[in-house]
Amino acid sequence: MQKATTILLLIFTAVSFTTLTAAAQDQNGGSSRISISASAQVVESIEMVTLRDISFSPVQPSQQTITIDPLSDTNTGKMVALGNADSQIRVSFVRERTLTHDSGTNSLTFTYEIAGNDEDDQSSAEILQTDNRDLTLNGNGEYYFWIGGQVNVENAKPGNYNGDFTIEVEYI
Amino acid sequence: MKKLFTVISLLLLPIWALQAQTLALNIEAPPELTITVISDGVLDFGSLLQNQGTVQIQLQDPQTETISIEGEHNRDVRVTIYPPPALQLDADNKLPFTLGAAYANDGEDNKNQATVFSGNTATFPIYQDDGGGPPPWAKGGKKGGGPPTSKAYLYIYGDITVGNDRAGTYTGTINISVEYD
Repeated sequence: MQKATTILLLIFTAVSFTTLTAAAQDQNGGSSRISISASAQVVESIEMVTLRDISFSPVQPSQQTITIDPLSDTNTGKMVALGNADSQIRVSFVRERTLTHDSGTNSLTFTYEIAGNDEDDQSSAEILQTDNRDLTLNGNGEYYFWIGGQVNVENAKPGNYNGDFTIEVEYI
Repeated sequence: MKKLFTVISLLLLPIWALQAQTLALNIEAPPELTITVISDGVLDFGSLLQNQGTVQIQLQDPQTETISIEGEHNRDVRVTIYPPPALQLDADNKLPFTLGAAYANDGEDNKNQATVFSGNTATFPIYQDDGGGPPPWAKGGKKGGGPPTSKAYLYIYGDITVGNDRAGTYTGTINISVEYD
């Protein structure tokens, strides 16, 4: 009987040790893992290329206004935006700009009219408002602009007038 | 008869002993660590131009990813973050990525109270008692008994550098490991 009791105690001790060790592993091994992702969309810069400047014919003494129709006039300025194919773009511009006489003392106000098309075809272009958000570069990443407008020269001082035109194009 | 009594004892006593150990396990088990992404799970740098240079998502930015860590309130946890060295378009096109991380352990999801990691690993108590009012578990213990739990918050951010890289979508995976210290 004495021998049997000793064996039982050994079994009990062995079982206890195993169980406590398992509990300790649960505590120290209580770990979790998780993942998140990181993402960035790189797009090509939009490049604006001027294909030709606006060309004004010499103004006649009796002429009151100069008008360049962006949809049909061959004197329009022409630009193209180059970027990611099929990307949506936003186009904005200031409609009225000041042209300054070479002497710096006189000025004229030029009112721009812009037509745009994702094809290199002026006649099928659409007139753009000063802020357009639903335009798309074509499959080659191009969008064309024809720049016209009108200016009143009725009281203009003879000479050369210069100014610039700013158009802003950005990805949406 | 004496021999028979000994055999019966051998069969019964170990069973009794095993039952007692099962009860002890239930008492000692700590609450498991629960990690939950409570933002959208994507550290999104958005649309970037070629050659834009270094672009940062900072701790206070809304794009920062937030993860909650729930566990026994008085235990320390060790958080290890494994960031990708770069976001990749493919094997040849990569945007170098630098990890930023911080944690808040005052019981609230509050970036203003966050402590910035030094490196990719940090060890901290799940709840840091700053003496500013009752702890989150003061209104009652965990439902169903067991030790009270609390939540710490982990914030993941960082920066990437965009050079003359090809256009496209660059991605990477950030792995996060949390364990009781």
